[in-house]
Amino acid sequence: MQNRTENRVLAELPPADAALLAPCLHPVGVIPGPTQQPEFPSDCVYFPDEGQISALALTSDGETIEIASAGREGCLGPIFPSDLHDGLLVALGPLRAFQVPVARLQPILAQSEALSQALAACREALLLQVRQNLVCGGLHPVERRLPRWLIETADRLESDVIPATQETVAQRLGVRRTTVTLLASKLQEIGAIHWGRSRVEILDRARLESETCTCQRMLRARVSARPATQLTVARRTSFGT
Amino acid sequence: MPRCYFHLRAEGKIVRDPIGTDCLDVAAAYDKATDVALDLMRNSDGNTRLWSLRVVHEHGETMFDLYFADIAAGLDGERPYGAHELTAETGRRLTALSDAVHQARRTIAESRILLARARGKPQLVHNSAYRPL
Repeated sequence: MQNRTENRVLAELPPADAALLAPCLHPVGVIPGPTQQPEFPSDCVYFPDEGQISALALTSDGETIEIASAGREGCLGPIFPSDLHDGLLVALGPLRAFQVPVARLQPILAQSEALSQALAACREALLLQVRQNLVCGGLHPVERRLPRWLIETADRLESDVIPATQETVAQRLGVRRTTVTLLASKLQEIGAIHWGRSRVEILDRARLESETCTCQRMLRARVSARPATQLTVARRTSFGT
Repeated sequence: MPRCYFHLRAEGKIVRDPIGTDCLDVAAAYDKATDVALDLMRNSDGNTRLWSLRVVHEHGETMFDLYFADIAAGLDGERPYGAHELTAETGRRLTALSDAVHQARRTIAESRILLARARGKPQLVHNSAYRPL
């Protein structure tokens, strides 16, 4: 059986390189509905087809904060065995992704120049994201961080509807749920969003963007100005499962 | 465990907490309110020092007001003598002023309703913006 992938990193690999990787790819996912967030093994790289996967840092007190996330535009996880991989990996709502253990990835990286280049670009994009999140968490007020999180998450999901409760978003931003409730009420009052029971809808993107900190624009500019390590061969590839 | 609601007063407006949180007692509600105030003040400009949280019991009575300026006194370190007291006092006066403005708006809204009713015209019977805490 052949499965088409929606993940851009996988879809843009030349067929020969894709064929090398295909036997190691294992489909994983979260079906719509459950409120619990299943945790994924952190020694694997994930290529989302649909939805978003995020790495969270966990303190000894049980507090969490989002470090980095990936949607179908990229991948998340340790690309080299020496990369840090002790965080919690969780989905945001429904997820379909391909998983590959970091150990199994190494021999393929040695054989495939195209995959090496693509994953180097992904790794750099992840590091830029971690760097920007560090700046944002350390210097910006949560009043600006929440709109930024909503815009960036919507961009990754390629949808104006984000399947998230206020509790979930509070865990991502490292703040109390009540803090998110109050800030959500402010954003609802100006007509930027509507937050239902377990989903946020962006009603006025321009209004919401005007409430974000500078990080969102900085990150967007930096990621689009990355060195051209992207592959020149852009084509969809089929993966056997 | 009673449910408590943490309504925010910021920049002359009331931001309501429609969900609330279960709190064991007043001390637990105070700790929770302090955590929320610290979240909102972190990395923010000085304006948040003038904000306050009104904590309301599920039965409707106000449990206490938490003025951010009182918490900021422990965060800002050394300040010129009297600066914290001045900020705290300004925060309290702003809250009182905001209450007075809301009461005045409510009176105007109620008067309009009465007038419309007397003239036999359609009337707006509910507007949450004029509802005091």
